[in-house]
Amino acid sequence: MILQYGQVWQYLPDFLLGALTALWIAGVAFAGGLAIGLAGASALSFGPWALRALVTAYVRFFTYTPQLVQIFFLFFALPEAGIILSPVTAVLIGMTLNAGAYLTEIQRAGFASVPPAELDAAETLGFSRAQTVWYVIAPHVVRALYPALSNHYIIMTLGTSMAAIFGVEELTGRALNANAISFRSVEIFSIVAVIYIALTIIASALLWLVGRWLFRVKAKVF
Amino acid sequence: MTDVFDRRRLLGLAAGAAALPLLPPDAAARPLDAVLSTKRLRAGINPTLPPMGLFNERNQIDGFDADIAREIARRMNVELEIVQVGSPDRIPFLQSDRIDIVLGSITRTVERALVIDYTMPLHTQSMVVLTKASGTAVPINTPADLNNRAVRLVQVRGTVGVPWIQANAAQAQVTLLDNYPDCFRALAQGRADAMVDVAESIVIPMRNFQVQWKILDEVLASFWVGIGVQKGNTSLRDVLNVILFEMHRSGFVNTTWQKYFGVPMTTPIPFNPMF
Repeated sequence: MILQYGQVWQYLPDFLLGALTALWIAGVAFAGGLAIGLAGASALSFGPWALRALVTAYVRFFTYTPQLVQIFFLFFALPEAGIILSPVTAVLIGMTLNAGAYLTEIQRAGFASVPPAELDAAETLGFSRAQTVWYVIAPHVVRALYPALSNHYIIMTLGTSMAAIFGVEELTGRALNANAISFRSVEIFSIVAVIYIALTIIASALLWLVGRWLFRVKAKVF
Repeated sequence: MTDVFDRRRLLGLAAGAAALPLLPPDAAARPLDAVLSTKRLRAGINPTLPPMGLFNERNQIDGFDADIAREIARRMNVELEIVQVGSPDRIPFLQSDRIDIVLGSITRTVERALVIDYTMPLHTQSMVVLTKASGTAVPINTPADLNNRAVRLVQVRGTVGVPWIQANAAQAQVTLLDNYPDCFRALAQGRADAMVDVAESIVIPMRNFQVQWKILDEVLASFWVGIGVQKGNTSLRDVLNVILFEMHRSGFVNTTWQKYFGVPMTTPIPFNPMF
């Protein structure tokens, strides 16, 4: 078998558009998940009993079931109740809720990792709860959790490939389309693999920039 | 700070990606002699395309394609080994020499003929429009009704309806899903109004959904489905052509077709000894 890459380069612009879709879907879902995770971790650390139970139930439900099943539910079960979500909406909601659960756990661990001595020091200095969170806990959390957060972001970027099942024309979906037309599976999927590696690098770089500018975290990416 | 990626890991990944195309080496096709001397014909069949390929009540791969493959093996006096293949992996299975022949509604196109060799046609396919008898948001009574911005179509990725829509109903909104059950479900739930596909792929599995289906009378196009062999495996293909000719002549193909579809092929295969 001789590989004929010349026959498949015509699909490259289409694949790059799909890569862009993967990148923004993962970015939006990650940002949403971060916000949910921050609220969830705060609730778990400082909230009343009932709220903690509620957040725990949410985290358990979304981490104990596969993301694919969750999105399948949003996409194919909700219409039975008259709610029809578009492919992109269903995938975004599903990925955000799933990420929120995992990022709650990750950020809660970050909250817990703040040394009690620093909290005591804050209290001694007369910091309010909000000041403690902002000046003591947050910088600590961001530094301590940076690797875990960026790993999750990369996993999410690669995980967008399952969106193809729900009719989102991201990279994998476009590769499957091209494969069905041309039958040049090895050529197509090897190109797509290289694009996914590039996506991972771009995703890491984006997070590095965010970490550097927003939180002054000097992470070594490469 | 822990590294997200260190250089060595990155290099390893890049090297892996670069080596990927080199992985399947020249897996030479098993020519006719190899099939005969091992007394084994390996047929790739997709069991998710009822009635072409399906799992029977004993969870074995069965269906029209399996019956055809069994008859081919019988006539070659070799044993048949059925290998389960799926839509995206069936061609790599053939190219990496895990199967000798591949069945499963492989519509003959120029692009595909550049990659695999086809036998003469085994059966035909007729492309039609599937919609609901109960009516849809936009009434669909003729194929021309599809070319409307308000029409939502749902299609299985990579099927022949997709290029037809691009050429003839470019205004319609198209959602591409992974498989037929997902498409039927989307239609049943009102996520889409219609689907353009070959009748042979939809008439049997659509019965699993409690919907009053409607198939428009017009046949939009006919397609020809052969059996695929690895590119250049002419010794096997030439024998298969003669066997297929005999299977058409004896009526075996049509009888088997009727067994699974209950009706003859919409577009009959002309009887042609010149191939």
